Amino acid sequence: MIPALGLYGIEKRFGATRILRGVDLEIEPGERHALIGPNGAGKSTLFNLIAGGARPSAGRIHLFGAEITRLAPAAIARRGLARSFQSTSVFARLSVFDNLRCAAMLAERDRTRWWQRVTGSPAIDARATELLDAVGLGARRDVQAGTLGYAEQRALDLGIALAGGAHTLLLDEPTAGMNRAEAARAIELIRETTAGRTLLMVEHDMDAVFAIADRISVLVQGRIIASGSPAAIRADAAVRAAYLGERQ
Amino acid sequence: MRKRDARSAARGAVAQPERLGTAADAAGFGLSARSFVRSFVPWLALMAFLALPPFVGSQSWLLAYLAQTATMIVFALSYNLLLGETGLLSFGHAAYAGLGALIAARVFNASGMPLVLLPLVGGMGGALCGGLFGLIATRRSGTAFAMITLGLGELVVAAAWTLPGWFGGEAGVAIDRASGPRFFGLSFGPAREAYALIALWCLAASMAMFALSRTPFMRLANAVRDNPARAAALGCYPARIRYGVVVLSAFFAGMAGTMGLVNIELVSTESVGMMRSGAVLIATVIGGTAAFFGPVAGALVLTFFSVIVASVTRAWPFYLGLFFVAVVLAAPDGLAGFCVRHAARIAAQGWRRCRAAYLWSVLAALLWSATVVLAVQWVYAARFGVDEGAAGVLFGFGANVGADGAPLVSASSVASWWPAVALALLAALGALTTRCAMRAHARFTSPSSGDAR
Repeated sequence: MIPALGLYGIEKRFGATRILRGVDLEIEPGERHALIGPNGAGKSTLFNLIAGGARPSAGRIHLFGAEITRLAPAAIARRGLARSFQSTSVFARLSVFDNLRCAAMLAERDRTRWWQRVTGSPAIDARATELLDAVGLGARRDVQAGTLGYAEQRALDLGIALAGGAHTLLLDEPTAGMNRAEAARAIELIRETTAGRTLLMVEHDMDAVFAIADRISVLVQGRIIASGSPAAIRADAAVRAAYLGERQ
Repeated sequence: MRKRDARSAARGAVAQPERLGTAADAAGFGLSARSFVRSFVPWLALMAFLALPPFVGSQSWLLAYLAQTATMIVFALSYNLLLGETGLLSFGHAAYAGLGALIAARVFNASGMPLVLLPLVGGMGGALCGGLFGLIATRRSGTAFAMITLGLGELVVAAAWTLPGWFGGEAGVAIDRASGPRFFGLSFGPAREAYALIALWCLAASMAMFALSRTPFMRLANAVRDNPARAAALGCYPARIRYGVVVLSAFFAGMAGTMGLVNIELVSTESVGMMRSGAVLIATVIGGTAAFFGPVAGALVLTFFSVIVASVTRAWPFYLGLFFVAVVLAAPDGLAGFCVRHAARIAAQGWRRCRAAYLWSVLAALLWSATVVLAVQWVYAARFGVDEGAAGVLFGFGANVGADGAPLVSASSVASWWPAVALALLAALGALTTRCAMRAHARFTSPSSGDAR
């Protein structure tokens, strides 16, 4: 089977500093994969490389078998890879609904003709409304996105990523900065809304990781030191020493 | 300031749909009937402003003033497509207007096409230039974009001076607007007919830009303005969106330039220059970039200064600059944002509670304006004497100038000291009323920090 996302020998250097030292990872279609590791391990850098925000110093990135290593972010997005950002990233001066409409409009591009950029289309509005309810922001439809609370902005951020209709999602710390209740709700939201899609997420919150992930990879100092099911990772001695033990 | 923003944000939940207005309109989810009617008020006001004065009196200066205002309205609205909608600060917007008008003038002189359609030709000329310059400028955003437009603007000015064959050199390119084929018996030679044409095109262009600002394409432009990296991660190429907006904006700028051409029957090298680019930037920022009608208000203010105030005193750029700085300091979101904020406050607090604060503010503003005007006119009168006309005589500088050309001689006479005393008095009163006004306003802001939470 062709992996949804394949990373082969990814390296990234900033000057003399090697952030990533040869990352190999294959993620099956439909899999929910969590990437964990201590601060500074290179998780966000890896995400940025996959999404096209920067280019690796060496190595190849494949999306469903097609190489995307040197494509622009927009081109990668058009091949069906969406991402959320570590810092909240919404269109602050647009209404919540317009945030989702912009995302949906770009998702429907195969079926959207150019004049619908001018007239709008019911299909786009329907999709945006659907996502609005899915992320639980129905009551905040016409509020400016920048005025939403933090947890709501994260939910909207997720909604924007989903509205793009992508088959592969990169979520960078989706529960960061949330309290317990908000995080639990966000986890539930992610589980519900990403069903049937491939998911790669960076997360520090172990509850979230074990609640969502089918498989976990541990990134330490630019290398993946272990990859396996949550139970296997929990039991892995090297991981305990390098990461889990450190935190408990 | 921040407190007040937070408060209006907290309270804004109800007001937002109207102010954004975009989603609901385009999606066909009707707004409430009252706000639907209210959304027509600015249009009616604009039409009244353009249409009524010519019936009151049709002096040529009035028509010229209105035509200049109509031109500036379209120009500023086109500029706001860049600045307000897409977040692109341009220092070379006059290039599109000037080159569009130049192309229109050349086409009109060569082909003898009807004058009625000339703004369209100018628009296409502007769009052509926008398409060309945009290729370079839209590769970057932010400061780099601003610098590139500055460079391109200078480039066009330099070209205008070095290629007199194309740009007409010192004299510019003139047209005879009555030389085209007649249109339903109208030759457009008389100023009234030309003005009617300009006013109608102003309305048509404004409506077109309003419709454009409601399209999904413009929402994408807003998205690129707010967060280009996020927009790119959705599969939208920010540079392409910017390019599209630059071309559209240049189209309307070319239209505005051609309206100016119809008015004065001339394109000069000045019309592509930095002065004009600066003027449209000032007009747009004074009016406010967040609301559609902000630039319209800014255009009215700018032409008021550059035509009406300029006809009274040569110090008008000083007053305009001062007003610009005051607006940017006191209301960074422009006159439109200022009005929206204070209308919301009055609606929330009731007019009775706000009355005192606003009366003090108006009084303080009047006193300070009087102080500044008096001081500036005094200085100008001392410097330029009779040139400054009535003001010079008022301050007692007029009489002595002719004799020895040293106007300051009379400044030593006792009679001319009265302005200094008056100035000191006015400034003291101004300071006093400002204090009262600030106290009165503070009463609103301090308890509000509680209800923002």
